[in-house]
Amino acid sequence: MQKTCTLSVLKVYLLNAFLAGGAIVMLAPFVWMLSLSLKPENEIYTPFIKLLPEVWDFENYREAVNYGETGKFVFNGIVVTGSILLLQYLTIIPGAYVLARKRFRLEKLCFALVLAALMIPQHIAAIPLFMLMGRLSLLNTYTALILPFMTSAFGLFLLRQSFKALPQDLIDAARIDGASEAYALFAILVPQIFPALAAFSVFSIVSHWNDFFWPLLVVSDMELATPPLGVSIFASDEGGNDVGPMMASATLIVLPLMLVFLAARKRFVQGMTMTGLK
Amino acid sequence: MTRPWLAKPIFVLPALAALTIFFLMPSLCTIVMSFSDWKIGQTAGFSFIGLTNYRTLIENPDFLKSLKNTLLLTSLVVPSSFVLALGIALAIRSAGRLGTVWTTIYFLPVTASLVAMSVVWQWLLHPEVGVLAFVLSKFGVTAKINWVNDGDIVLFTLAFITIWQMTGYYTVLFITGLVQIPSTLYEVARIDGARGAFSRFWHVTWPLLGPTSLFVLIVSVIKTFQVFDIVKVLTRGGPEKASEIMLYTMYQEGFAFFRTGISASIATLYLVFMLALTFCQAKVFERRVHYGF
Repeated sequence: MQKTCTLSVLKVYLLNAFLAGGAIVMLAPFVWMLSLSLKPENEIYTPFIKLLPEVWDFENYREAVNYGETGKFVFNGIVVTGSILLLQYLTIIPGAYVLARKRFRLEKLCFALVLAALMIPQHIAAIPLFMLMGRLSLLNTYTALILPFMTSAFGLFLLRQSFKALPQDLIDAARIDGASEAYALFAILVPQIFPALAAFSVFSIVSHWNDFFWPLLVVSDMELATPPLGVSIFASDEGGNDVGPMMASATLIVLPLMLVFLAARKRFVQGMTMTGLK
Repeated sequence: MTRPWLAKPIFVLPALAALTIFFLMPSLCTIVMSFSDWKIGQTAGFSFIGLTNYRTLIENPDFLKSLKNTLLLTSLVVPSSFVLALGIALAIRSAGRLGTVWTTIYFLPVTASLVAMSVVWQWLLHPEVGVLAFVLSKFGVTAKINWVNDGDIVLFTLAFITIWQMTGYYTVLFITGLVQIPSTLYEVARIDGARGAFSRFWHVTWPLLGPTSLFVLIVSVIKTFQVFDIVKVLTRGGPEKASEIMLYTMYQEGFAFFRTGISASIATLYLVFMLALTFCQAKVFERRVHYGF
């Protein structure tokens, strides 16, 4: 008995050691990013690796914001991601509600459209969509970054499932005191599907904050660059050799989502994994 | 009471119209364009040229290389991230109190912008002042290895970064699957003589994890096909197209060389791949739901 006990303790130690080894690899890029972002230039170009800088240098961050315009990317990221999420709420919540709870003749067709959109990757629509934006003179505008994503097939699918699961009594009760259907939907039903809505929000924020492909096509103006586009322009332009400021810029862009993740770990993981479908 | 054609049009139309205008119609256009000689910015007419674009592609060694690279990248990433994720998930399940901490750490790369992290990787892998070069020199490897600019190595580097980014995601999917396996089954297996950890894994975990495994497998193929950011930022398909993959070729043809028809036919081929995979995925998803997983 004693022996199996020590064996299992040993096993747990070994497993944790194995996981710790992997964790070092997982964390290394983040640690190195932080480390370089705090080092003055002469400490960066050395063949000897020191984790902590000898002189803590926040100058890199000032430079990333002043010359690298990182503040602007982050601002653009917030505007674009926020507007997309808001528009998605406004289109998806009523849409999913009707698809879930109303019977009408075109129902099958409507749902088929959602499923079709769910199966097609974003990249397929890119060329004609780019041309459409060009025709509407929308290239290099916030609108071009936001409008194509004003709704989400995945959101419609996910929320439709949740609305389907609500009891009919709740919906009847909501209507009985004469509230309008829109009011009842947003004030009474939406709180009931909060978990699904939160998961979808995480998914939407992460995908659009980190999206690179679409902004790369429609925006060439540094003023409108979203975070990844901004970093890539910064890295390929003058910043290419300014390692410190570049790392500071990368840190400022990666940090917001990471903080949200650490603050709401469970919801975050849920949001990212429920989306295996896309 | 007859059913209306459309209930609450104000509720559904914005969503459906947006899906159609911004997504379904353009996708359809891409397919149509792949059979034409249309070029972006061209104002004069264009004509349909049948399968010519596809023939051009198949006869183009650069495209074949890109296709080969895509498949090679997939074959490097999918099995390794599968095995790693499963191993990590099993370890985390038995790791005791630290389990949540490990999950959090392993999931961290999933949240990070790959563009930003590519810039970081570039410096980690730097042949002169990179951390990896330093670590290798401690083990006596002093050769300057050019992880990103050596045509024989670059795909392995990209595969490694992709594995680094996505393994945490698959780990969480596996953990979700593992949690759902009823512990009574392990009890039964023990009584039936499955003593060791391996035989418990083989007789209980692996079979019951089947749907999750298939799901992870398909999702990881899809995600690997969608690799784009690291190629664009880190290698631009180089050196000598050694890291050119399908999605990047499509982007180059369409937006750097303006060969719209060619780009559209690559997109269409890509769509066919994705649809086939998504179809399998939907089947698996159904089964998962069916099992109550």
